Amino acid sequence: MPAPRWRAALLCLAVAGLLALAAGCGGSDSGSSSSSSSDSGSSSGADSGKKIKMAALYLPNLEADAWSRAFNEGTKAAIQTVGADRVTLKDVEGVPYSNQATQITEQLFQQGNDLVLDTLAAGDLFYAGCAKYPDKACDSVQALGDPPPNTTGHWFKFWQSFYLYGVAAGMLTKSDTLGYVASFEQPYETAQANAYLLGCRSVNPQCKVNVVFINSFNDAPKTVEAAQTLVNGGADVLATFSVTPGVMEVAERNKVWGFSQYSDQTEFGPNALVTGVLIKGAIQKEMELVLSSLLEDKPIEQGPRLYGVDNGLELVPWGPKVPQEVQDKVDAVKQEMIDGKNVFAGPIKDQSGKVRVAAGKELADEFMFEKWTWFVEGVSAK
Amino acid sequence: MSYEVLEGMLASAVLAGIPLAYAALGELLSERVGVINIGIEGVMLVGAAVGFVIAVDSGSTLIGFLASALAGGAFAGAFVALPIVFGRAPQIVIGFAAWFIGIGLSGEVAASYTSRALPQRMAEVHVPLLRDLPLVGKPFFEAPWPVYLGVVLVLLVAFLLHRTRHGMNLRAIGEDPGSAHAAGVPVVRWQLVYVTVGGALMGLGGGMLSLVTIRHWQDQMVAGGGWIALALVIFVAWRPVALLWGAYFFGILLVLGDVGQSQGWGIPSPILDMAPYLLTIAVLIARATRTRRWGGPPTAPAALGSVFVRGQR
Repeated sequence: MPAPRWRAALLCLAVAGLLALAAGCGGSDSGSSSSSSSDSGSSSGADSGKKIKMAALYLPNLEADAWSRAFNEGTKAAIQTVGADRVTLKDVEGVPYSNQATQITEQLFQQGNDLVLDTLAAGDLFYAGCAKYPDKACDSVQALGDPPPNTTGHWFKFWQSFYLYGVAAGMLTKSDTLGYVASFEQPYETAQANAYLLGCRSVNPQCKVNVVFINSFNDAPKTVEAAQTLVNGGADVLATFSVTPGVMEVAERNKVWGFSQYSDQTEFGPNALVTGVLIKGAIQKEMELVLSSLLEDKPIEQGPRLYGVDNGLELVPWGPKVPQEVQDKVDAVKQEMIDGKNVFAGPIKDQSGKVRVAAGKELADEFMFEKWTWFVEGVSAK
Repeated sequence: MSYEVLEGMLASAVLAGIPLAYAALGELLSERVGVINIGIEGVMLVGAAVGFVIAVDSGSTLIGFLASALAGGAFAGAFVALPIVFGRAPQIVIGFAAWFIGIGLSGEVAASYTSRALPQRMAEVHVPLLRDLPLVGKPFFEAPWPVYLGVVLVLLVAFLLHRTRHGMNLRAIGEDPGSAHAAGVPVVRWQLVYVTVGGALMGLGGGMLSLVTIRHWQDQMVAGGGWIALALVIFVAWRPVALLWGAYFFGILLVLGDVGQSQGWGIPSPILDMAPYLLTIAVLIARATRTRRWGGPPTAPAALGSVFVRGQR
């Protein structure tokens, strides 16, 4: 019979295990650092003077989703360009949306990092850590709210990619119903739903968009359920803002069309694939700008810089079943965007039928990023 | 709501509900022998992760599904059954520990598999005649085979617990392990065995999520399903057959939020997402007060959560 001591020992073990886990969840920076300074192209920096230590914060692990993967690849590519011998990169995985994000940021500066990149859009939690080290630099994805002076930011013009999705979907749909698995009710997500609809209406006046918000960026079961619900409701083209490939899976399973998001998710729906946005190129441009500015001691504008199809935002290669005329049409619209045409022009009506953007007026990117709070006529949300 | 939407909702509810039925069945077995395993979520995650990894590597979803059972059983055996039954550690603490360990372990095991797709689909079984029934035909009788396996396992466990002498012994352990021991039932052995078997069932629940319902791996993808399964056991008052209805019902609640949004019911989406949990509370209260008239609310196994020490009563 086990003696009470035995039990105490086991309990201690359990408690110790719990503590270790708690520590592991938070400051996972200890185990997962990866330095990409192996390349020895030492001649690239002529003055070879300044070197930079940077760290990147990730919500899950590096490989966990399309979003994190794109940031990791884009940052590494930028480091290769500015000189792999001049920048060391430390990846910090498992950073939660809590004051731990602040503490981890502070610790990274204490450890001598010059730049911290926030890929999880931690907002104020990240700014709080940056504000305490005004001599160091921070780069925040999204950069909404009120970042301190040393914190620069960037975001992506997903409203452009969703408009292009809409053009393709409008030509592909048979039910005139598109589905959008959205995350949170934020202006940029509203803009994406609206852009999807406007793109679709530009080629198909009957088009409508059904939206389901899942209140998460990465809830896999919710993404799948929401996508299936949209298909059940008649949608035959699906798009998403979730980082999981659930929408592509559901599209493939139901033999409808689907858009990949952030990274190439073709593998999850090889027959369903239309196209999808790739953010890696935009991240590379952003990091090249920030790193080279720091290396040359040049000031960086606070931003946020918005990256669109004219500046790094790309599309994955067309799915094998997408007709040529659809590809040509979308490529043409994309070229117009690159040439500077603003497709978000009035008249635009809201859900009640009221004209909110008069004919001849155009919507600015800043409006779509931060201020578009009403849905366009033809979008069904809530 | 159109016919197609309703039919589609039922089909989604089946795929969302049956993994819960697997997990809740495992919990029910475990609780029937007096051990409350609140680490279901962690066990399911381990099953989901290992099942997915093995399915991708072996090229067979069937092998992956079997592996999820083995992984769930091994995990629950090592981190729940051994510490509780041998170590006499407090069950709630161990359950929480198992939850966290499951999160970490599953994340590590499947870390490089998040961008991988499954090699094949689970075969669907089409039941002749029944599949032609209106509304319920397609959702219930044109489903992937693990759905039917779940139903069969529920019936098997019901038979085992309520129609066999062995089952009576098991229930006796959960009610009064001292007496069961005095009557010659090997309490420790069956507690070890059934907490482990329960873990295997939870593993299958996780495996069904990653291999059938969601079909890819994502960190913490069980997303609270384990906690719903825990509630489900209480909800059905420890009766296995009722688990099936309970699981379908919870499955419908889980997809209701999305249906409401896509149908434009005008209810804010966070409210609809809370609906399953609000209704759980309401139904549990309703049930407890209603049955009082008929001899009191359904009661848990009397010795649930207690520590059995041979020779002590």
